[in-house]
Amino acid sequence: MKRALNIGLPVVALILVVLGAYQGLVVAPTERMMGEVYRIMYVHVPTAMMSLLAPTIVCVASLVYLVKSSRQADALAEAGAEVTVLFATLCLVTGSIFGRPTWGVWWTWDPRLTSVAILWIAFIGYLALRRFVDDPDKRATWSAVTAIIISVDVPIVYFSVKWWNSLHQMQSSPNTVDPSIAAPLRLNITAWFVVFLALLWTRYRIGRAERDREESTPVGEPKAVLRMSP
Amino acid sequence: MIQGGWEFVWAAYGFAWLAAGGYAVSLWRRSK
Amino acid sequence: MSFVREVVTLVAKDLRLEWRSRTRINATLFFALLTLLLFSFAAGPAQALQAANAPGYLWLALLLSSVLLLGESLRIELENDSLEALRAMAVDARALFVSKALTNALFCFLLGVVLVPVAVGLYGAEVKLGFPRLVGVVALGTLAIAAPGTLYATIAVQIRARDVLLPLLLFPVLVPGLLASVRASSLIMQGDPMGQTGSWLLLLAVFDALYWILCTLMYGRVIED
Repeated sequence: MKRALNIGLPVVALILVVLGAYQGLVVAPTERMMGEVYRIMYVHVPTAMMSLLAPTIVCVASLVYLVKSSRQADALAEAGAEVTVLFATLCLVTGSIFGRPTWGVWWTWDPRLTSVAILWIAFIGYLALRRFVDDPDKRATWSAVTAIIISVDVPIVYFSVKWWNSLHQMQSSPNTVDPSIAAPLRLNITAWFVVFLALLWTRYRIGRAERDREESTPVGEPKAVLRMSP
Repeated sequence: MIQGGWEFVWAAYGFAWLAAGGYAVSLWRRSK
Repeated sequence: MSFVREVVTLVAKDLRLEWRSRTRINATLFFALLTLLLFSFAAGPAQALQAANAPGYLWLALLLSSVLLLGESLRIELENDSLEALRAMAVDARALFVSKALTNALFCFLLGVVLVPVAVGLYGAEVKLGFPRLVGVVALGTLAIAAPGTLYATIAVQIRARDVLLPLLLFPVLVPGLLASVRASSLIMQGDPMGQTGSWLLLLAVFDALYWILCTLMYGRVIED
């Protein structure tokens, strides 16, 4: 079962991304108003969704860790945080490339954009914290606390920026646009979701292996020795 | 109005694939 | 001992401790004043521009010097091993947090009270709705800095790279609090024809309440051994 996931998820993810790109870049028609540029949506919208899904998983895993002190939950939170930074980066960069031709600027203080930017930098801080703490239990507890503080913050950032800057963009949902444009979007969302699962699962496995090694090594032993032991 | 076309599309797709692919490769190397 | 009495005792202890290290607080004050000066150099000599940006500069100066205060206040605790001692005396972690955060909020607030007239004078700004309201915003805003700031400082002082990590963790979280403080301050300073100050103050109060509760509840896990 686990072996099937290890190989199967990345393979399915790759196939779906290729299919999605074909649908988005070749099959989908040129849009009347926006020309070709709208195709960026097929990578921007799915990555934006994943950049919100990933921190949700970090938040839940962190709560579970604080209640049960389970190492699995800590490994999942760590994996989720790395994947959050990846998808937030993708969302911000593709959004910026999307913004230039459509709004004429690389960056605007749109609430959604700003929230993802804060989320991105906050999780970079979270990952930095993890790097700097050696004691596994302290690392897990402190990062769980940090993750919860960040999770509470993001919705407040969204509303405060919305108030601060009432300029906003149309929010198009797949139901209101033409089916020939909406169908590739659904496929691409599915594809990036499987990419997300594959990356999260692989990172989680690495985290579990690291924790098993940490546990089997006596405290205080230098890391060089740790690597050489079989 | 809209200025530009495919070059923006390729830039966005190219970046997304490179970043996601690069992260996947780094994970694959760490998992061995 | 009741919770309130415990907090009062701890705050008194913290204040005595801070009084003994008052040179540090003086240094922080001059650092904050220096920051205000530097902002006006960055903005250039145009008086109108400086006046318009005064609320933002005020809050940035307050934020930067607050981070120094927070780091220092927890570092003293750690150097004297007083966290260990308090833990050994079975002091309630929540009382410990509330007292520490209150002391920090108080010092940040006092810093803000000194900075407000200096910023107003230096940048040639007005305070159309009066100083008392501005001081009220400073109180709410420094409460917002102090709660997550005290929690993160407690983590940061226990690890390597504490000086980089505290702002890296704290600043993203403070964005809504800072935004609300700057908006409310600039409405009070530059006039508020639409009556928007209230909603920013409400946002700030909600932010304060959320983080004071959240951090109080979680502090025990941060200092546990």
